[in-house]
This record gives sequence, C-alpha cells and structure tokens, in this order.
Amino acid sequence: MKGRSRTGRLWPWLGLVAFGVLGLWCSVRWGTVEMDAESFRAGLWSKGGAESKIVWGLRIPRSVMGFGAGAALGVAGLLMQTLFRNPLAGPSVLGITSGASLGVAWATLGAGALGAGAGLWGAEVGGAALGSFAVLGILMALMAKFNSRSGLLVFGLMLGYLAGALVTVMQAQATAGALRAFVFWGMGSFADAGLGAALVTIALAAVAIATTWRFRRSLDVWTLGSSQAQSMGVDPRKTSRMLVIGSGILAAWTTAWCGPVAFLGLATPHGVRALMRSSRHGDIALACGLGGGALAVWADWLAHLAGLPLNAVLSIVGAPVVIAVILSKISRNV
Amino acid sequence: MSAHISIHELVLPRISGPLVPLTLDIPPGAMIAVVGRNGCGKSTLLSVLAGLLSPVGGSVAYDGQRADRMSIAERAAHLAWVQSTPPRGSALTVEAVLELASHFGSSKNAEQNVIEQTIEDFGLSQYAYTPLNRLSDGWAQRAMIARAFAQNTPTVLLDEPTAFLDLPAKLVVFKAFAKAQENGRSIVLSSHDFDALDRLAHVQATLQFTSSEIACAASFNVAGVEAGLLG
Repeated sequence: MKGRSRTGRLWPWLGLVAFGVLGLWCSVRWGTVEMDAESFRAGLWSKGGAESKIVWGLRIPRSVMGFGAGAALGVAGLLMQTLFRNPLAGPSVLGITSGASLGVAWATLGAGALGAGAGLWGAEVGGAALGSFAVLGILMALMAKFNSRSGLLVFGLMLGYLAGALVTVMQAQATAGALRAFVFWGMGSFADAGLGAALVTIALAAVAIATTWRFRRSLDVWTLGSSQAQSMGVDPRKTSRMLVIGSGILAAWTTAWCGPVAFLGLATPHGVRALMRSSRHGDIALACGLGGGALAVWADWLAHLAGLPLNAVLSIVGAPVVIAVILSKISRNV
Repeated sequence: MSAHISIHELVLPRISGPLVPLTLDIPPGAMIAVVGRNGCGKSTLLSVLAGLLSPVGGSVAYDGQRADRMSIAERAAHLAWVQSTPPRGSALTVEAVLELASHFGSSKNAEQNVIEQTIEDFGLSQYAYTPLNRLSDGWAQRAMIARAFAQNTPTVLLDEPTAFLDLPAKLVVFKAFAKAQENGRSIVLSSHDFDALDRLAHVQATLQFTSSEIACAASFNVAGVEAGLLG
C-alpha cells in the first residue's frame, strides 16, 4: 500500500519560522521613530538612553505580545472550529469578547459617567479581564449542567446582543474622553501589555499547543461526530469541556490585554491547513501557533507604520480569507 | 476475540405500547438482524445494546459486564457501533479514520496490518487517501463501517448499514461481515433491506418488531424466546 508521506515536508515549517522571525525582526528594527543601524544597535545592547527605551520599552514588548496573542488566538480558533465542527467558528463565538467589551465599557464609560477619572491605566485591562473571565465562568457552569453545543452558540450570540445593548446605554451617558478610550480599545492593540504579560501569553499558547498535541487523536476522532467519537472510546463531555475551557482561557486572556483582536483566530487555522495540507491536529496545532503569531506580528507592524488600527488591517486581510473559504465550500457543494 | 452477549428480560424505553421483555443469548460469531417498520424501535434497541440508552427493565451484558455500566473506554473495547448516517464535514482521510480506529481499539500491536487488511476487506483502496468530506454518502458509509471493524472489537452494532449502499457495495460489505463472523466476532444490524439480508448475509437470528413484542426466529438456542414470541 502506497501512502502519502506525512512527514518529510520540511519547507512549510521553515517558511512559517522564517515568516515569524522576519516579522519580529522588522517590527523591532523599524518603527515610527527612525533609527540608523548604529543607534539601533545601541538601543538593543546598552541600557539607558532613548534608543534603549524605544527598543526594550516599546517595540520588543509589543512584538512579543503580538506573537503570543496571535499564537493564542490561532490555537483558540482551531479549538473552536474543532468544537463546533464548523470552519467559520472563531474565539469570539463563545461570547467572551462580548463579555470583555462590556467589562471595558463598564470600566471606562461607566466610570466616566459617574464623574470618576476614566481612562486610568489598567482600567481597560481590568474591565476586560473581569468581563471575559466572568463569561468563561458562566460557560463552565452551563457546561456542567447542559452539554449542548448549539446551546453554547446561542448563549454566545445572545450575550453579544445583551452586552451590545448595555454598552450603548453606557455610551449614551459617557463623556467624550471615555468614549474615545472605549473606541480605541475596540480597535485592538498589542502595545499596552508589557513584556511580562507578553511572556505569560506565549507560555499559555505553548501549554495549549502541547495539550492539543497530547490529545490530537481524540480531537481528530471528534471531527467524525460525538457518537462516532464515543464509539471509539473518546468521551464527548470531557472533550467539549476541554475545548471550551482551553479556548476560553486563551481568548479571555488575550482579549483582556489586547482588546477584541479580529479574524486572526478564524483565519489562521484555514491558512495553516492549506499550508500543511492536513487537518489532523497533530500536524497543525503547533503550526497554528506559529502562523497566528507571525500573522499578528506582521499585521501589527504594517498597521503601526501606516498609522491604522490593528483590527482594520486584520479585517482587510481576514475578510477575503473567510469569503474564499465559503466560496470553496460552495464550489465543492458541501 | 469473541464475546458472549446476554440480553436478559430487556424492556426498551421510548416504545409505545406494551412490550414483552426480551431474553436472548448471542454466541460468538453470530449475526443478528433486527427488522421492522420505520419507527418501531430498531435504533432504540441498538442504542440500548450499545449502552448509550438505559433500558426500562432488564440488562444487556457483554461477557458478563453490563453495557450501561461500562465506562466509555471499556465500552469501546467491547463493541463498536455505526450510525445510520455517515458523518459529513470531517476532512480526515479514510486511512486516517482507520488508523485512529485501530489506535483506540483493541489491536494496538498490529495497527498497520489491521488498517491494510480493513482497506482490502471493504474495497476502499481507491479512496484510502480521500478526505471523508469528498466522498459520496455510500462511500462514506462504507468507510464508517470499515472504521467499526478496524476498531477490532468482539461485537459490532450497525444501524441500517446498507441504507446508502448499492448492490456491489452490499456484496463487499456482507462478505467482510462473514469474514469477521468466521473470526468469532458478533454482528447485530438493523435493516429493512430484507432482500439483501436474505440473499447476502449469514444471519443466524432475526428479531422482528411487531406491534407489541419482539418476535425472534433463530437458528441457535434462544432462551426465553417463547415469552417474547407469545407475549
């Protein structure tokens, strides 16, 4: 029996790593402040001085956070698409982003409406973390009682409407400055997290990738349907709970630090499947992390240089990917 | 690799009308056909046999171990089941599905061997590297039936396995069933495809659902069938 070789395709991996390293290099080397090679080297290797502050204080944390957040969202998107067996699922379908946006609205707009000092450092992060982890908690409580994926979808969708409504109520009463802070949060940014949070994000993504790899066969089987999976000895309850918790933590953490980063989680797994020519979790888990990280760094760098919001760049690149996925599905008549 | 299935005083849930408890001992290597009209409870019986649904009364046991008390992993070692509709949308190739089945099944030592043999038995070689979502319903169903056999369990339960299959496909599948029976594996399948069953399958017993009971005709010794027959 002649098999298609499943290993030995090295170039996609080399390409991914090169793409990521090049993106990281570019976003550390060139920013809005021009530096010649001499002063860049000085900024990279010597402590103190304006160059060092720019390289170590701004560019490196932002680049590392971009890579970590992209990796986390790429893996979270893969897990969501696996959970719902739907290629158009992404990290935001569970309602975690909506919860975060409500939390941020409460922290910025609500505080502004009450006359307190809005836009305090950390208000967005705290509010988003509160909102997103609260939603994750509710999700887990729901999962313990009911085990319905369509229920989860409806919950996420309705929570989005509810959060949207409450946000408009707060917007109607907010000050201009608070509104501005809230709108800027919605554009997504890797700039505010700092190196510590960035490294934690990378660690979380690494744990998620390792866990996905560890359960790669169960997740492969899961794509056949819950009943088939159970027949093969894979527990549907455990699997769906694991998928919700895993992608929920990734989405909640990244949204807290970076805002609602658009499209990365949805688009990355599709690009990676095409690149690796495989849908098996063992082949694509790590690649989703690397690919998501690299895409995020590139998008952030381009957005930064062009002075555009991160989510604008991501959506301009991401929307065509989604359209391509739908069109290829239609043409395959699935 | 063989199992003795004992059904004792089984009363099915979800069935309208009174149903006389079913008692049946299925020896290794038997094929039982469950026949009856749409909605009569064939799938319910298979779900109860698979331990997915608890019976209202009585029990089903595989080598003395009750189906509804097994863990998911234990159950997967005793029996594999196939639903009537093949899954859509999975991008796994046929070979990958069989590899996963043999990995999770009880044949870990001989994985590659089992995969190749199953592909041959079910005539799947031309589609071995095709993703399921590119296969027709008939081929996808054939692949899923092969999946259950690659799991190498003593018992295989199949709900309407021939629903999407054309005649050549039925021939291949029933031949593979016969081979599995020779190796001592038991097969329980539901069908309303009487013709194919009659001509192609090595059926030892038929469980026929009637309005108020399950009637059993068997070529081996069936305990308690009289009760089931006469109500």
